[in-house]
Amino acid sequence: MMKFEFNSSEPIYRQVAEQIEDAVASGGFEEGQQIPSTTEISKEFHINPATVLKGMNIVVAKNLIEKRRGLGMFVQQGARQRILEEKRNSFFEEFVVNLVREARNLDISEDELLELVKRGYKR
Amino acid sequence: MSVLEVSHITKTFGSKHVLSDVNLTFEEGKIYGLLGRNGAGKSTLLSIMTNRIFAGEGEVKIDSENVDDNDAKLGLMYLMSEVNLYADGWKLKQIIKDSESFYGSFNHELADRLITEFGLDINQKFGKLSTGYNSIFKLILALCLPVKFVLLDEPVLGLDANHRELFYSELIQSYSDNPRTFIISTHLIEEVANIISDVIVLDQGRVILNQPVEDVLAKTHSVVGPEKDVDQYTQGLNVIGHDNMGSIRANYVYGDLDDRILPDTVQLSNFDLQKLFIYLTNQYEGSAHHEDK
Amino acid sequence: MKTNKVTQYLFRRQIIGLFEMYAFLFVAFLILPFIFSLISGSLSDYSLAEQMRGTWITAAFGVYMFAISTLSYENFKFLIQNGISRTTFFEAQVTVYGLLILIGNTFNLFYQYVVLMPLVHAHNTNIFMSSYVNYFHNPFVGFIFNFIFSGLLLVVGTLIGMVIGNFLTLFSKIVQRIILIVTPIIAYITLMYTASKLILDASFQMTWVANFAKFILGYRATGAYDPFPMMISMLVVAAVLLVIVKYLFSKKQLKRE
Repeated sequence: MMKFEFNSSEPIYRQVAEQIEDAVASGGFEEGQQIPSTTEISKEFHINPATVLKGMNIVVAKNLIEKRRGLGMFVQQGARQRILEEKRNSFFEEFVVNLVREARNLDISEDELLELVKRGYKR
Repeated sequence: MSVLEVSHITKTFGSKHVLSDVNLTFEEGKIYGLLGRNGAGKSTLLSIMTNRIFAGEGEVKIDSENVDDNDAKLGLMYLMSEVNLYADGWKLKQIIKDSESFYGSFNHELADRLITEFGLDINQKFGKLSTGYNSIFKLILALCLPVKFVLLDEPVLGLDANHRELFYSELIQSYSDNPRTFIISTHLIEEVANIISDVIVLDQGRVILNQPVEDVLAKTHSVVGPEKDVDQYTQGLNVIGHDNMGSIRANYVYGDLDDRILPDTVQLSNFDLQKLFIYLTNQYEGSAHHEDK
Repeated sequence: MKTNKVTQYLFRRQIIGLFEMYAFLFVAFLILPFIFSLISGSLSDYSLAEQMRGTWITAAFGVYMFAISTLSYENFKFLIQNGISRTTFFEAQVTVYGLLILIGNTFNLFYQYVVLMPLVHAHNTNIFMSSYVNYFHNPFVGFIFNFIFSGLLLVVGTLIGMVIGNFLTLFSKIVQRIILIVTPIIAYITLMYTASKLILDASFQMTWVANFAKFILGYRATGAYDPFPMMISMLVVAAVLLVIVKYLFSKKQLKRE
């Protein structure tokens, strides 16, 4: 399920959106499955309901979850695939660039880094 | 939609200025955090708003009507405070009954659930309760009476961690079921930081901050890096505090950053409400004394 | 209207106190002496009529009204917590005291006319009966005026209690104590001064003060006292006190504890 761990460097509503997407991506929330309501999330993590709603609306706007009148929020079909695609697209900017920067700081050469990545895959 | 307005409230106790020209607007359906150090004037302000004591100057209005000596408007507010206005020895059930008759109704269903969840002995008498249960009883009244403005002064006083957790959850449930205005005065900033929608900081009787939390946090910037670079980057910005860790320095800025170029060596992030509060209310440290409760 | 609810609330609380007081008196003045007589074996000396002769039941009600009228802070605290305004509190409280006086006064007169007078042939049962009743030749008219006169006396007593109580409650406990200590001392000194003047200074005795007092009391050199100057003065005093009480209620505040 969701595992909210909030930090102070990003607005809470955006973190709420990200956590929901992460839960969908990891299979915590399956496609077609109902996700917790705004109030449930608010109560559980002590976040203002308006903030949670704002976060949810971001995910709704991306067509990843949908509101079924009177029932609640449900994960859309194909949501997982789309989130993974989006994550892959940002993978380079978010992880590779940082990885290379950190490797340079530590005087790790390109070959050495590639070797390390290979080792990572073997684990 | 009801609006609670506090305008130009001034209050002195003897020669001590407790509140100086306080102006605030509370809109319906929001959760306000009223923060301030001991003696900042929070309780006094809440007492004035509910007509328990008189302001020296200024007025409190609900929907442009003065609340002073006004049953209809005073009946829209409930202030749960540390001071006990119920007499010792009164039966809790009777207090609920009388409060219900004055306010017009009472959410018994919610009250029964809360009584069970918190394990309050409702057959007890007021004055025989522990500090924690004293708070819990008053919180139940605050959540179950049909008011538009729920004013909570130190709501979790004496509550243990489990009960605090339960209270915040029930507060949110009650707010979701019936959106109304909450004004929460507390020292435990971290616990309410994500619950409140707006933050008001009182310092020595003056309002020094009054904004939506989201806007406030967007203006907090911690600038971390080598001291020289950090100081150069934050020059001319509103630096409210700093930390030194060896040769690394963190400058805490409150305000908008301009287009200045961020050096590679310097990292930017936001910081939280608690830290902001501490730095904002520390600024005047030493220049005046803080009254202890 | 909230005034009705507050009136009901205060009435319920204060009528219970009244019953408790009567119950206490009944036990203390009728039952306990009986038990003591029983224990000490002097039952033959015990006389119910003798025990009831005293006018304490009339006086006790006055004392009770005076006592509760000085207390208002506890009710103020509860009412302001529940969003009840000072004006509503004032109106409800005055209504409740009016009702209590009506009840107490009716009970008092019932006790006088139905119990005391036929049973023990007591006739000086209150101020009116001992001084003014002979002014009226018709017993029924006398009874009516006894009711009005006694009621007014209770009203004035209650209002004085309210003025004192509500004045004191404006101050902190320390200041209250200072007032309670200093006021009687000043009153005593003033009284002693006046008394010594009256006794030693012959020219003072026949001044307007004495004449005015005689006029108010309805003193006549011959014949029965006239109750009307006294009743009218009580009405005027009550009206003035009521205005003062209303003002004092409007100044009520929660004290810092």
